[in-house]
Amino acid sequence: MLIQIARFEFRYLLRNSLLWLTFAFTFAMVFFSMNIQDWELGSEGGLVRNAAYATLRNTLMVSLMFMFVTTSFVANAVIRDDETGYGPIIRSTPITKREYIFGRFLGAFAVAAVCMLAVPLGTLLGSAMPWADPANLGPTRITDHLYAYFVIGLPNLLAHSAIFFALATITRSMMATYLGVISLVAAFFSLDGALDRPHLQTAIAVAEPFAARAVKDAVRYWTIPERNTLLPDLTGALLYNRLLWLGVSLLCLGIAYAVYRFADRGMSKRERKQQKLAQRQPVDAPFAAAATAVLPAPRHGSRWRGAVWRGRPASSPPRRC
Amino acid sequence: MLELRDVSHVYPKGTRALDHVSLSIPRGMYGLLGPNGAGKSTLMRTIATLQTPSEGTVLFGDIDVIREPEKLRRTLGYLPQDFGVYPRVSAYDMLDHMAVLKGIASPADRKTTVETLLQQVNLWTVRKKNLSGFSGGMRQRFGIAQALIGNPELIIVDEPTAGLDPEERHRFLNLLAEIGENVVVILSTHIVEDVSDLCHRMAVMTDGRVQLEGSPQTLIQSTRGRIWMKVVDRAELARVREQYEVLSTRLFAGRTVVHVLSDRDPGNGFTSVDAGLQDVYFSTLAQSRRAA
Repeated sequence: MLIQIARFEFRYLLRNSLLWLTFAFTFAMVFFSMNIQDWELGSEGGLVRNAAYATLRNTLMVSLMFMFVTTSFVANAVIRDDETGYGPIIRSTPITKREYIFGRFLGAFAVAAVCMLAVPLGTLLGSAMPWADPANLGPTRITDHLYAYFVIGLPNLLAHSAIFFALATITRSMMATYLGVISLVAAFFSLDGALDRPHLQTAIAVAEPFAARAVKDAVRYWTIPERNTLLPDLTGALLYNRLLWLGVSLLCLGIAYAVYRFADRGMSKRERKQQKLAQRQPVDAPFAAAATAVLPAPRHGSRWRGAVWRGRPASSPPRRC
Repeated sequence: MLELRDVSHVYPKGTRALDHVSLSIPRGMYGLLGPNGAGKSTLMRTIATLQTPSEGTVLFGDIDVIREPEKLRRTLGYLPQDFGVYPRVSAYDMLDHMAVLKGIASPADRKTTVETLLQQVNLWTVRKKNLSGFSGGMRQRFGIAQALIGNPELIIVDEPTAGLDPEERHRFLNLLAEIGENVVVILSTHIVEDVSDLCHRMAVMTDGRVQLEGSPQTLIQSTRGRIWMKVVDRAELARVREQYEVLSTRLFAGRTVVHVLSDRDPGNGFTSVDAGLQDVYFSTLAQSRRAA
């Protein structure tokens, strides 16, 4: 059941144009950086365009950029039922909370993971184009892409998907979730500079959510040829970083599961409002009050003059109730 | 079949939506009539396991609905009042997914279920269209289709005819009547005809309380001889309202037909009329207003 819910979610999100726009944009960005002279993503002289380090860096950058897109997917997965008003129908079926929460998350996360494939695909196809300058390219190494995707890209996606999935579950608000994303980005960039002290180096490399520091530190003393062909070992700060954020991801998913109320939270806002409106009218005399009420009459033609003269519109529109 | 005992619900802000509701609902169509805000939806949601009442018990057969909601959900079809749909999903795909959620595991069974239901609710020709583009009536028919998946024993439909045009309403009620012969169907509405056309038994709710319960015929009989009618001018209406317990007014050829409630002959040009369910309903509302 969990898998089937995930599959529906996956296929549902595949119809979202945001996904395809993001995929196309990311793919194009990487693709053309392989074969157009003046289109370079990083600015390290001497590196070939498909260098091992360049692939890691591109994956990192894209995973950071994706935060906005994946958040919209995972938050949508958990907020959609309340937002559309379809929730009561779903919640009266015999599915369990576990199937629902994790199925929805898995589907949305899988979509983001597919979208992330734009980086390896862009690199592989872009470097194979006939107009690409061979001097800018090294040999194709699939291991680079596997490493970048599974060690950097996917865990990064998982971490922020899980964090913002939990936030969306708690707040039940798209707006609040996006504020969370913006806060994280702001915190990331300001703290990254502010905490740049030698004695904190390892701590930051472990704690920083995208592993950008850990990768940078690992290749710090590498020569250009090394950066072109070698991958950092998955040890030390980089390993601890990945484990830490995998743990945080699982924790956040656990929180989302614990917080989500499958039994209802009472009537929706819209229902309550409708009920209030309905209660105002006695049943047998729906128009009795309106017939005797005197409504303000409109005035035509002198609106502008009146507005200037009195400092406000001459005829204020009647209020809708 | 469905037993509610002393069910009360108080919302966090102190609104008492249900006040010691006890009902015994047999197989067949059961109508729940009441003005908006009477607590019908709260009661429906409580029975549909979407909301836990503050106190009371709900039993369906031998399922304790409050303790084992997941057991009831296996045999429940619920059409909520005023639901929305996902954008970018066709009727077929959504119904197929609903069948998955309701435990129709085999693809072949699911195909049969979905195709049969789409034909039954007359949505077959638009099955590939997006739900979000459906009219109110089409959406409501989709709603009933999903409620019927898996042959539920208990079907709850909350104000299903609101927003339907007369023809759609007619078709919808026919469909419900067909299904309602062998299972428990609870239909809430504020439209008296919905109940009088369909239901063997009914209850009238106001202010979270059950004011009246029984079969429409007996209830109509109980008000026989107490409903009086007179045709008056509009100007006269205010005076009539002051003097009598006015149940309903309607216009006929520019003049007003007034129904009043009175145990004795009010004289004054009033004549006795055969009560309809509408009069029963309005007299119940009038009594509960007087009591308040």
